[in-house]
Amino acid sequence: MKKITVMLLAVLLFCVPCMTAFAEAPEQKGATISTTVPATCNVTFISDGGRIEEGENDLDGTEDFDRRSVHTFHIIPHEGKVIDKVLYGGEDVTAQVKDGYFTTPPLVADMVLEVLYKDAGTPVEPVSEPTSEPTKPDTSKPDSSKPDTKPDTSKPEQSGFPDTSTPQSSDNSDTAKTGDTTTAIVFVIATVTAVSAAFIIVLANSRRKERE
Amino acid sequence: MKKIITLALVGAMLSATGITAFAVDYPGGSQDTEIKTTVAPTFTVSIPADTTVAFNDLTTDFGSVTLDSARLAPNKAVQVTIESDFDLNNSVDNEAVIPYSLTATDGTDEETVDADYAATFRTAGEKTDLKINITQADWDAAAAGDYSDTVTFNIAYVDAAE
Repeated sequence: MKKITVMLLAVLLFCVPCMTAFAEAPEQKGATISTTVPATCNVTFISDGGRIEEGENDLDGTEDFDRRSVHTFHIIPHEGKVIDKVLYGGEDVTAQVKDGYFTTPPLVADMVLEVLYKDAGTPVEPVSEPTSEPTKPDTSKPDSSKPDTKPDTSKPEQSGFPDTSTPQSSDNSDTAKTGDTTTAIVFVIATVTAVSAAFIIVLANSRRKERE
Repeated sequence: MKKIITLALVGAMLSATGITAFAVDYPGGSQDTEIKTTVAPTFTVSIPADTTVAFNDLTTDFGSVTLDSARLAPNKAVQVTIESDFDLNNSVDNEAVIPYSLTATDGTDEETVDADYAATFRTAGEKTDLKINITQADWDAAAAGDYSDTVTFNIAYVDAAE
């Protein structure tokens, strides 16, 4: 019992000064900051009016790619369409598209590649205007030609829509037809007049001969 | 012999304790009696918990360093310094790192944490907010993988600056 008491007192003797010193001693604590950089990034493809390929793979919806990888996408418009604008991550990269190919910078975040298309004929339309314009004054001048002008004015509006090449040729054929019919009518009237005159002359000559 | 050792230990223990009371009787006259005591300083400082930064986040709350409770001597303060190499280290490739910085905000004062940074507190409730900053360029340059770093907070009871 005495030994235990001695030991206890000895322990207490060491503890008391230690506790006092401990309160003022510097202390260290740590906190960990952590993060994870994903191994893949995804690209969402939006392409109404065409398709996007990489190699031989058609890309549609959302596709996963390795982080920091570089890709070349081939943008192929549907027939009658051309690329109007290419947006990559919301940024206009149309100027970077060469022959329908767009090469991405290294992929470091999820991106959206959106391609906007326009009708292939849209830029052609102004070129066809000079040839069609001269016909418009002709159709507006004579009152009798109004029925002919209605179909003519409706056709150029249609040419603004997808099939632009067909209306162009039909416009040309229309102008050729109107020229031909006018010439034919004049020719027919002249022929009829000439035949009538010849018939009247022959008839008059035969009546003279009968009187004589 | 054992009794002597026991008495010696008891004596040593009593002398080691902080409170000492003395009362001496004198046969006549008066004598001042001094009562001494020591109140040990106590304080509680809370530091930020482990934090995960979301990929591509430029700024993330790291929590705050707060003096939760304090019983300090008038001329003393609690000082917290921060140690870090300010690089998140890749778990696989030791050379792959994502640099980051810490911003400390004390009221309206904002300061970038570096080796010389020290936050000093004297009153319970005082705190400094911390933010973790990673630039977009550093995110873009980072290779895939898990990264981490330990920030060490050194808490010391120091003389208060005048």
